[in-house]
Amino acid sequence: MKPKLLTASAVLFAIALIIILMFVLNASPHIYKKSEILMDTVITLTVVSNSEKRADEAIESAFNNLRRLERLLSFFDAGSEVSAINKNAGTGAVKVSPETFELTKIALEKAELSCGAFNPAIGPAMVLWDFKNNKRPADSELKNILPLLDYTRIVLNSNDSSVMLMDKGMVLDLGGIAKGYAADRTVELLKRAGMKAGIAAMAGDIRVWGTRPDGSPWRVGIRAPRGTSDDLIGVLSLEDLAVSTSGDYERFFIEGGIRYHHLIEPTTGYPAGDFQSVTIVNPEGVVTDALSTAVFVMGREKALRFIKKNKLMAYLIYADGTTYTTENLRALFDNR
Amino acid sequence: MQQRDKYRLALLAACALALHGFERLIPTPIPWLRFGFANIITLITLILYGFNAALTITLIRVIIGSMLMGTFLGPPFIMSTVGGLFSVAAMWVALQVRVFGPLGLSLTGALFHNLGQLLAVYVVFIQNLRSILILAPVILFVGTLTGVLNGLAVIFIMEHLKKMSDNVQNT
Amino acid sequence: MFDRMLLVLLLIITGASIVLVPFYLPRGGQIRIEVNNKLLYKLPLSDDKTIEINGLTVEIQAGKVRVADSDCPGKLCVKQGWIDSGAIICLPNRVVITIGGTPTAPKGGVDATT
Repeated sequence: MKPKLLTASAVLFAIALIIILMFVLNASPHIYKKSEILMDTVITLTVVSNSEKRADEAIESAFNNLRRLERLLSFFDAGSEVSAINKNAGTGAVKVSPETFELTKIALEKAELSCGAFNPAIGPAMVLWDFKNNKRPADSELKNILPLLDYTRIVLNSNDSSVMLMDKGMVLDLGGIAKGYAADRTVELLKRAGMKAGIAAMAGDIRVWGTRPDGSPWRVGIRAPRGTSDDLIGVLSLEDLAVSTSGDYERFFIEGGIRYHHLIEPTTGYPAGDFQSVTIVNPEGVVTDALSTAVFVMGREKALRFIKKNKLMAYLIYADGTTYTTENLRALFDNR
Repeated sequence: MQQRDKYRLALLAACALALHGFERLIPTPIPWLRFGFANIITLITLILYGFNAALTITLIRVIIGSMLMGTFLGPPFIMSTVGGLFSVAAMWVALQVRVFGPLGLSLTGALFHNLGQLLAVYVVFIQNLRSILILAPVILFVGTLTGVLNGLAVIFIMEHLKKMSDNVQNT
Repeated sequence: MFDRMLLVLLLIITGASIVLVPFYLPRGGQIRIEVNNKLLYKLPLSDDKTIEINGLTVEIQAGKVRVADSDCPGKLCVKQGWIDSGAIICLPNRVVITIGGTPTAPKGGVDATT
């Protein structure tokens, strides 16, 4: 027996083992991505993980949770809790899941905060404006439903976790906040599943956490309102922040040279006209989703005061195409 | 072949079979990672009794082993047969060259065992060259490590066998 | 002596190949076509093929994929043209075409668009 050979082999063996261990442990993190069509839009989840299997499992469970949220909150699904609340408008309170209750509560808070510019009772107007068939409602029709757009007539009862619309004809529409909420819940779920970074993008309502694998912040483009969906007007560098854009180009039709879009002003029932798009950045998706809509329909003067008062990070594109970036967002914003 | 040698071969085949089954009980971080302990027996047989004996033992191990595991003629059977034959042949050639000790022989065996298995997987099961090419280096690398382990075991056993026969001769 | 040389050689070659082979291997991605979030097709990007699915004509050619035609109103999927990474999504027809197995380079340098 040659002891030298044995020792040398043992040493080599140990070194090789260490090398392979390093391979296993230091497997460089990769980006995993999946898109599904849910909540009437394209939802793309992106995670950074060392393991494809763990990433896939986390993404799958996140999509399952989103499907569950969609079943609770959908405005169009006749079996959803939101539909049940609407069916019982003026007749009775509907017991709902903790999520629906929580989201309705947050929606009412944001309505209060924005003096009704964000309005979860906007439903009756949204039903009249038919953006699928490009149909404009008559003035009289809109005038008739204006009294129904009163969010203070949505009553929550935390004792039995129920929601009631006090007047017949009221329609609860959480569409202006559900996607931001879904982004928040999704990030929470993916973080708990051990994903250290990623993006939950519910179409334009996006929340990111952590950084890209190379340590740089996530880059979120802001669409140019009058370009194609690939044209960007600016890029935000975000870490652990949410962003939403409300734009007049998302759902709209043009009739007689006038653009009619889905951002309806609750006091008139008509699309708001001062902006092409409003982008809000905030740690929470519910805030960005609700307040981007709110700021959009407030109109220029009120919007600027509201942004200043609440120290919001905002990027505004006015109707004439000029833009405004708030001081606190400039470090994160890159012009294109 | 003498009657005594036949008994010895049967004993060695039984050892190989036992190791073959035993190593399945060892938990490994990667599911397809096997130590190939049976190769220790194959190599010792090859050194002591030559090519035919080693081939016989390998075939016995592969066939009886797959019958015990319930995989006779199934995918694992094909893979271990091809791997086993490749490995015996390669070790025999390496032995003829006469420059390798047990460690080198064991490494050669492990290398060709894995090459044979990869070839079998490619030809018989998945014709996806890309995934095989990506997987191959990892399998061969791990195979080299287990090859070292088995080689050291062979050195250790041969050393003892020599001592035992020395003792027998001395008394 | 030769034993150790063989060992070192094997470790170096196989160890290096673990890193180098995936790096130099041509990108052979896989195309996944989902309709209503159900995976209907899983095809190698290397096989040229044309498939009709849910109103879409999907063409795979030379390692790229495109929607050649679609019955949806906006035809955004058709306008996207040939892609070799990322995804084409047709919202009206609820079709998602993704190219997997390749690292998706962020489109236009961004990871998402709002």
